[in-house]
Amino acid sequence: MKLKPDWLNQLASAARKAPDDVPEHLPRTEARVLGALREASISAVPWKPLLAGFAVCVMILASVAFWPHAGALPEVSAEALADLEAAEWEAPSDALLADASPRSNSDLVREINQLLRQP
Amino acid sequence: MPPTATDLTRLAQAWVAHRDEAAAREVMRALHPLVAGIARRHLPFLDEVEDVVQEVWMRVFKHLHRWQPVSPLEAWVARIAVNACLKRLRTRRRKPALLWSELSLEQQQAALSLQEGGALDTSPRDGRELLHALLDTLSAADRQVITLLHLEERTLDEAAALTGTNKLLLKVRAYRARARMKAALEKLETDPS
Repeated sequence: MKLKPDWLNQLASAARKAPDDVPEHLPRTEARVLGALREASISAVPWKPLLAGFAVCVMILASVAFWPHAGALPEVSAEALADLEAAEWEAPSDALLADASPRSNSDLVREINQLLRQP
Repeated sequence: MPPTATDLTRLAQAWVAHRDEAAAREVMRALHPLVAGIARRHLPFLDEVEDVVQEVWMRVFKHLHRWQPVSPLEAWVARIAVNACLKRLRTRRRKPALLWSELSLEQQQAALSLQEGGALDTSPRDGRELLHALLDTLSAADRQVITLLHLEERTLDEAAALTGTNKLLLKVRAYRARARMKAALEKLETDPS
């Protein structure tokens, strides 16, 4: 057997001359690639974290709105209301108002200490 | 009139800046022959070619923002195509040997004409099939080197740039791959028909 030194080049040359059997698929390739890229760009939006955040917000709002005592003031009994209406509030005396002159902090502290020392 | 390198740069930038699909279409139309040609020459099966071409374009447009216009877009796309083909070839199992019985009559005739030291006496199509049958006995990397250097007639520098391998390694790999192919072709003689 005596292979010529250019045996590979002969084969390669024949292969280059061979007609291309690949069917023309550019339009299909274009459509598929662009479609896939569109899908990829949509899926690139972080939907999962956004939805999770939205769900947490809904849960917080729902818990505030439907919590049994949320937003409701404690009920006041009729007796307590009657007592409040009956109570007479003592108006501050003129002497007390007249005495409401501006004082320094040290004066106030001294007065408070005197009051505390009283039995 | 095909777009120039400047046009391709502008179109690529339009895709990167605002996902301009018309620009992407023009890039694909301009460079499709390059990508399809690489896939056709590197892959033995026709049905794989379209898949790989689509895979290449997906990669190109996903990573186009990484491309630096200092190098031509064609070279960058060709490198992606060569790598995609190599990845696909790696999934195939290398044939341990080429059997005479696996060849068609025309391919056997072509092999005989080569073995007798004559000119290749067959149609280009059968010549190509015989070449692919011999390439099937090589590893993916060896096959890629032979395809680049002999089938695509690229220089060592170009092949090195496309594969990201140094020239010396490519040279050694090509030498060994040619020796393996030659041995596979010579061994056909001893295979009883």
